[in-house]
Amino acid sequence: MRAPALAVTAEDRLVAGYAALAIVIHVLEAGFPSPVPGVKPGLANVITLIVLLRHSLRLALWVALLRVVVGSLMVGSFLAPGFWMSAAGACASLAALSLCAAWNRAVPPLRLSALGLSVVAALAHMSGQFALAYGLFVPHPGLLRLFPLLMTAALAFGLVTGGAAQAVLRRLSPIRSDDAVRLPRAPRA
Amino acid sequence: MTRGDVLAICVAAACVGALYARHWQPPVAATRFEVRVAGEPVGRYPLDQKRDLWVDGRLGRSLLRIDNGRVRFVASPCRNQVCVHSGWLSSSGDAAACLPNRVSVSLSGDAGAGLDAVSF
Repeated sequence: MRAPALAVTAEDRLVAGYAALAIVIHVLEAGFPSPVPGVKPGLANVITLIVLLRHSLRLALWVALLRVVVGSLMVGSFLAPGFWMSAAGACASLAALSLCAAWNRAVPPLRLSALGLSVVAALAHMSGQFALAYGLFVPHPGLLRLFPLLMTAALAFGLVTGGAAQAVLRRLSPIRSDDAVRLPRAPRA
Repeated sequence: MTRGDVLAICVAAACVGALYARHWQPPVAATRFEVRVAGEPVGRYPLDQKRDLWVDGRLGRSLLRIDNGRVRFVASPCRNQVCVHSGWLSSSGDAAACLPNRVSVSLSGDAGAGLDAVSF
C-alpha cells in the first residue's frame, strides 16, 4: 500500500523553495562577524514576511521553522546555545506575527504592512532570545542593562528588514501569481 | 507605509524608550565588595570603613584600600599593574582584577535588590 502522506503537494514545493532562499540568506549572514552576540540584521526574515503577506501564516511558520533548523545544521550550531537562542527568538517572533495576522483580520483600517510586521517581529525575536539568555544561560542582573540597547538594535534592524521586504514585495507581481496553491487541491496521488 | 505601521512603530519606539527608563539606571553606590582569589571567594567587606587589606594571591600579596565607600588596588605584585590603574571603584557592579595574582574584587549594592543566583 502506498503512503499518501508522502505525496508532495504544490504547497510543499512552495515551502521548500522559500525555505531554501531563507536558508541561503541565513548561512550568508552567519559569515559576517557581529559586534554583540545576538545582534544581526536577520535578513532571512524578509522571506518569512513575504510568505506571510503573499501566502498564509501557516506557510510562513513552516518556512521560518525549517530555516532555523536547517540553517543551524548548515552553520554547525544545531542544538548549541546559539541554536536555542535562535529558536526562542523565532518562536517569539512567529507568535507575534500570528497575533499581528489576527489584528489585521480584526482591524482592517489599521492593518500592518511589511514594515510594521517586521518591527513587531524583530522586537519579539529579541525579547524571546533575551528571555532565554537571561533566564537560562546568564542570569546576571548586569545583562538587563544591555536589554534596552539590544532592543534598539532590534528596532533599527526591524525597520531595515521591513523596508527590504517591502521593496521586494513591490517588485513581485501584485496579484497572487501562485493562486494555484489556494485553488482546490489536486487530488492526492 | 500604512497607518497601522505608523502606530506599530510608535508603540515599539515607546516600549524601547520605556526599557531605557527602567533598566538604564544611573550607577548605584555599592555598599560592600567581595574578594576572590583564583575564583574562590575569600571574604566580603563593607565599604563604609577605612582600612587596608592584604590579600594573598598566587604571586604574592595585593594591597586593597577601603576608604569612604570606595575600594582600590594600591599595590600588587604584577608587572602591568592593570589592577592598580583601575583606580577607585564605588558603583555596584564594578570590578577590578589582578589576573597574574588571581585576585579580584567585585562590588555589590544593597541586598534585596535582586537575586544572587538562579538555578534550574
